[in-house]
This record gives sequence, structure tokens and C-alpha cells, in this order.
Amino acid sequence: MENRHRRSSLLKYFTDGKFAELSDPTVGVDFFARLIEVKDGTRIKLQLWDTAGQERFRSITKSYYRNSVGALLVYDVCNRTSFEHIPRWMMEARRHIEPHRPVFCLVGCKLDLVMNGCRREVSQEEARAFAEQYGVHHVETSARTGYNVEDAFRTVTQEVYNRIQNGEYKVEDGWDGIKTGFARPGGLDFNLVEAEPTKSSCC
Amino acid sequence: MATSESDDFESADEELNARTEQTNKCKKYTSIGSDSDDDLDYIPVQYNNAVRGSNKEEHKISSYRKNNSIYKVNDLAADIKAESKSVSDFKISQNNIEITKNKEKSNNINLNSKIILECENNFCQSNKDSNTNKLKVISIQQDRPQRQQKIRETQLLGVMKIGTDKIDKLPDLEITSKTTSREFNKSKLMNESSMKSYENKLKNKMKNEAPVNVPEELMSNLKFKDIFHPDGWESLKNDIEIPDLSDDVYHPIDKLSSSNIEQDNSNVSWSKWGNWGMTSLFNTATVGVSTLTSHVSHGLSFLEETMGVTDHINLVKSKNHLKEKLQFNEEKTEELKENVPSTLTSSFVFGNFVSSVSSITKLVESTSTKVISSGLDTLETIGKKTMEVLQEGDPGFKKKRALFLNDNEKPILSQILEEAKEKTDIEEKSVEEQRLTTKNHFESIFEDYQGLMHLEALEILSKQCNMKIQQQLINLDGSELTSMQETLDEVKDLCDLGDEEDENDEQDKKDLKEKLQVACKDLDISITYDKLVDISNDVKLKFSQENSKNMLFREVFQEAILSLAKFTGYSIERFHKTAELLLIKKHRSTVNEADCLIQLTNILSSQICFIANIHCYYLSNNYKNETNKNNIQAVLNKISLEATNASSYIQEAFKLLIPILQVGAI
Repeated sequence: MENRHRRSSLLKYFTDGKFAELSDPTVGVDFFARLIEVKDGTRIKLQLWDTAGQERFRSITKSYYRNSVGALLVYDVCNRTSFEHIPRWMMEARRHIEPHRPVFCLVGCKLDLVMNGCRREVSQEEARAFAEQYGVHHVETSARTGYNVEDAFRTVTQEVYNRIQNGEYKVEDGWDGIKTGFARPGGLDFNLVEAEPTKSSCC
Repeated sequence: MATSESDDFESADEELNARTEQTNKCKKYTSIGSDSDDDLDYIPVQYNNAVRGSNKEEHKISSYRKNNSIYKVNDLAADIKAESKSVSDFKISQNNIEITKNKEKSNNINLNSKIILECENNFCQSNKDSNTNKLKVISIQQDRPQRQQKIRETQLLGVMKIGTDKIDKLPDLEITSKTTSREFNKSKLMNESSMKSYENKLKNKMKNEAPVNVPEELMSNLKFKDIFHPDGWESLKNDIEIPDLSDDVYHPIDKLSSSNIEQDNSNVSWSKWGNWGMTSLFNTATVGVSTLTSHVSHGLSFLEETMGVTDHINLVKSKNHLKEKLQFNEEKTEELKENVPSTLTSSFVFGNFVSSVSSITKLVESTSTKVISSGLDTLETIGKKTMEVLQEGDPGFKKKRALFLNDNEKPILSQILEEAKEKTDIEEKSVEEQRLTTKNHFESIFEDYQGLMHLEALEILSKQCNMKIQQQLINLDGSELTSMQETLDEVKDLCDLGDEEDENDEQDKKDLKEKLQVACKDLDISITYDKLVDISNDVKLKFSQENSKNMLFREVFQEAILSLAKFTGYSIERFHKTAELLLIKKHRSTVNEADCLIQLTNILSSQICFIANIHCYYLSNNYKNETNKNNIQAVLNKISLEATNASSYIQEAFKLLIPILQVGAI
């Protein structure tokens, strides 16, 4: 339950701009969406799949990986176990998203707890070293204060967009990681690229 | 004409007191011997006066003169002032010489006065030509050190010269105090011939008025000439001095008068200076002629150095003429000098005063040069910088010229603004239309409520289940495969939505929440459909109350679409959740699940119909008069279409659930 809260809170803050205590646990997957603007001004709609961290949903959640282009690997800076599960989540995401190479971002959360005197169990250096080893981005956040939350998603979005630009990602049949935006009647979002970074976490 | 000697001796005691007073005054006025900063504050004022005077004299030629020439004027005027102030010393020397060698004295007076006057004459001329003036200034300044060396070699020569010069000037000054400055200005404007005649007049005047106003030194000067009639030098004086003197005397006189007449005090002080000079003369006379001479020469040596500026090429020339006489004087004073040691402090003080004046002169000169030149430099720099900035990226101002020249060809600003406003209005209108369309668009709202995503996710799960089933079928063969196929078909048959509509009437009477609870009881999963119930209740509430009558026709339409899309979205979400929960359920009961899901689907479909109907009924009853019938019909059709669309989403979702049920069956 604790794990589920930290991830959903992170998404909630990113999409709603405020911290919210979530009452009911995620069943399978929840969805969040937000428009984000990358450096060249292109607006990208992020479709976020908030997958349940509970083990009993594992069989379901791994089905959702396939149509993803990226993933946030979330751990608790005050919970060593959560960090130790990261490699497993990472491998699982990779395996299901194949042949596509997903964009990962290692996200340490609950940084506000450390600020409030809670014992840090995962040092920033260690997490950074891990991220460098796997060639992924790393950022420490707090959904309660909003610290670095935007940064985490923006990093992934920019990277996804860069890969679209250099041709690694493209719209293709049988894969919904990248989709052209839903053409609304007004045409406002006509050229939007939709990305779906799946959130995964340890438990 | 009374002799100066008798006059002076009569008033000797009075003048002794007056002298001390005057000395104090002078000290106050010029800060003699003081090196404090106050000197700097005060002295420039005098310079300004001097400049003004000289400017006047030159008929304002100096106004377009360059800085250097102005400085020269300053310098010269200042020095002239200094000279005239030091009259007393000159007198002393003069008298001293008179006493010792009257003949020599009178000759020297004339000679030296000529030199100085020539210098000043040249100065005036040079002022008229700024270029030559400049050059002269430079040459003079360069000459100065050399000259000073010379002066040191022939100190006494300088002493004699200056002394006599001052004696000539002083009477002139007194005359100017009598006559108006206008007269002098007039005289300047006159031709040389007229000048000469005027000079003669003036000379007469001088002689007439001198006894009354002119101090004793003038008197003595005349007296020396008249009375003593020197033998040896007489011829020289007549040959060289007299014609030049009469010509040149005027200019320095004018200068001095115009610069000093302005201030009454200056005249007073000059006369007092003269008095002071006489008293000092008599004092020194009592002390001893030889002592005086030596001291005066000492003091004047300072003065001579400071007066370097006034020196001129002409002076040098005239020097050559005078060389013999000067040589004689030098010898004479040297003899005197040897005789007596120098101890008198007054002469030293005066020397200090002169030197301080000259140093201040130089300081002010250099400072003002710096100020003006730096000011001009700054202006020049600003101008250059401005041009640079203007020309930056626009060599030859081509762009800027084009900008200004093409102004006429350009459309009027008001037109541009009008066009821009129209454009903006159109854009705003289109944006508003888009917003409204989006607001009324079922698919958009459906997506906003994540219906589409849940449908996609449900589809993924459905596909996964299908794959699982197909994998199992591949692995099976024979009777197993047949039995499994039968089971799958049975499940499919169970999920036939078919003819549920008959029960709608009965179900409508029941509460939606109650119906859903009953329908989903056998699913055996912890799931609620409260959101759907809430939406339905909201719609009912809205159209059963009086406040709904305030709604606009368009608002009712929007409300219909919104309610349908929202309800459909949540329905799909519930289907998706149900599928997920069923998949993780440990003990599946496919028949019950299928029955429940069929009931659920029918309830949701009927609820969509209900929502659509309630809006359509309201629209058709309440807006008959307001809008034309075609418009109402179009809206009603649109609502019906979206209701059908919503039902198809729900049925589509139900079909996606079948593999999930099948997976549970095998």
C-alpha cells in the first residue's frame, strides 16, 4: 500500500499539480495524462499508465508494458528493498517492450522524508552510480513538496522526443508506444505525439 | 612738480605704517607665501578678470581663438599683473639706481620699457592670429629654460629691466584710472597715426594730471629725466627709445587698464602698491643703498624667472641693442652686491609671492587645458560611438535610409491595425468554435475521462487472454481440443446480449444502484459502480427540478453529450477493472460471471438510453417556441446518435470480456 501511494502521488502531482493522499489502491492500472512541451516547442501528450505494484496484479501489469515507450523506475529513498527491486522491474519492462528500447528514468521519491529526519537508506551517489551503469537518467523527488517531479517527467519526455527525432521511434502498426495525437475536430491537438511511459515500481 | 624725494620724506612715517597695513592686505589678497589650497580658489578669479580684459582689448577675437591662445592670454595677463604688482620692488631698484647712478637709470628705464612694450605689442598681434600665437606660445615656452639660464647669468640685467619697465607702466595705470576705458578702447580702434596723436595728448595729460594723482614714482621718473639729464646714455635713449615708447606704450596700458579698471580696488591697491614701493624705497634708503640694491636684485631674480612667458623674440633682439648698457648695469649691481650681505626678509616674501603666483598660474593653465581638452575628447568619443552604433550591421546607413525613405510607400498604421484586429477576431472566433465543438464532441469527452485508455487496456488484456487460449489449443489435440472448443463456444453463447430489452420497463422502476448491486453480486469481486450511479442521479436531479428551466437550449444539448460520454467512459473503466479483477480471481465461476456481465451491460446500455431520452424529452418540450424545428430535430438526432455510439462502446467492451471469461473456464 505504501509503495502504491508514492507512485500514484507522484503522478497525481505531475498531472494535477498538487499532492493528494490517495485512498483506494490501484487495481491493475490507472491512467493519467498531461501535455508537456519539449524544447523545440512541440507539445506531447503523455499517457501515463499507473500500474499496480501489488504482486497479484503482476500477471496483468506486465501485459501493459508492451505498448510503452518509457518507464519511470520508482524507489523509496528511505527503503533499501525498494531500490534493490529496481533491476528486476527494469529487466521486466525491457523484455516486454522489446524490440523497442524504452527510455528509463530512475526516480528516488519521498525525499521530503529525508528532509524531515527520516533515515536515508539509498544514497544519492549509489543511485547515481546505478543509473550511470545502465545509462539511464536519475532524479530524486518529493511528491509532497513537488521537488523535481516535473523534472523527472520532462527528462523522459525530452529523451523520447529526441529518439522520435532521430528515427529510433516511429508510429507503427502493432505498437502503441508512439501514436499520432487524436485528431480532434478543432484540430488543436492534430500533430500531437502521444507517448506512454509506463510507471513501474518495486514492491 | 614737487620732487618725489621731498614728498616721500615728508610722509615717510605715515607711509611706513601704511606699508605694513598694505603688506597685510596684499597677503590677504594674494595669499603671499602661502601654499594652501585657498590660493588656488582665489587666484583663478583674477585670471578670469585678466582674460576678460585682454579679450575686450582684442575686440573679442579671442572668442574663436583656440585654447592655447587663451592660455597664453591668461599667462601673459597674469604675469603682467604680477609685474605691475611688483612695482614697488622695481621702484626700489630704480631709486636705488637713481641714487647711485642716475644717468644710467634713466636710460635703462626707457630701454627696458621699450622691450616689454614690444613684447606686449607682439602679444596683441599674435592674439589676432591664433595659429601664429600658438606657435609663439610654444616657442616661448621652449625658450623659457634657456632664457632663465641666461637670466641667472645676468640676474642684474633682468632686475634692471623689469624695474624700469614697471616704472613706465605704473604711471600709465594711474592715468587710466583718471581717463575712461572707453577712451582707451577708442584709441585702440584708431589708426596708428591717430594713435600717435592721441598718445601725444595722453602724454600731455599724463604730465598735467600726474602731480595730482600719480604717485611719486611717476613723478620721480619724470623728474629723473628732467632734472638729472644724464650725459652718457642720453643719446642712446633718444635714438632708440622715444619713438618706440610713444607707439607701444598704449597697448600695455590698455591691457592693464581694461583688466584692472573694472575693479576699483585694484586701482586703489595699485596706488598703494606705489606708495608701498616708495616707503620701502625710503626705508631701504635709510638702511643703506647698497643693502637695498642687493636685496631687490635677489627678489627680482625670482620675478624674472616667472616672467619668462612675457619674453619674446623681440626682446632678445632689443637685448642685443641694449647689451652694452645692460652689461654696465650688471657690473654695477655686482659691485653693490659684494659690498653688502642680504638679510631683508620683505624682498624674499615678495619673491615667494611672485613664484607662488606663477606656479598657480601654471597650475590653473594646465588644469583648464585638461578640462577643456578632455571635455572635447569626451564629446568626440560620444559622437564617434553614436555613429558606430548607428552603423552597426548597417554600413553606410543603407537600411536606415531605406527605412526612412520608404515610409511613404508603406501602408498606414491604422490600416495595419485594423487588419490585425480582423485577423485576431477571426482567429478568436475559430478558437471559440473549436472549443465549443470540442465541448460537444462525445469522443473528446470520452477520452478526457480515460474511457479510451481503459478500452485500450481492456483490449490488451483481452488479446492476452486470447493468446493464452490459442496457446492452450495448440498444445491440445483430439478429444481434449474438442471439449475445450465446446467450452469456449458455450461461454460465447452465454454472453449473448440478445433480447434483454423486454425487461427494461421493469428495471427502470428499480433504483440503478440496487440493480447494479444485484447484477454484480455473483461476480464475486470487490468492485463498486458508485460513479455510474452518481452520474445517473445527477442527470435525474437536473431535469426534475425547476432550476433546469433556466438552462439555454445549447446548454441542455452540451449537458446531454457530456453525461453520455462521461457515463460511457466510466462504464468502460468499470469493465476494465472488472476484467482485471476477474483475471486475478483465484476461483472462477464462468457461468455466473457471464450472467452478471450480461446484466451489467444491459443495465449500462439502458442507462445510456435513459440519459439520452431525458435530455431529448426536455429539449423537445421546453424549447419549441425558441428555435426552429429543424434545429431541434438536428440536436435530438445528434443525441440519439451519441447514445447509440455509447452503447456500442459498452457492447464492444463486453465482447472484450468474453476471452477473459473463457480463460476462467479452461
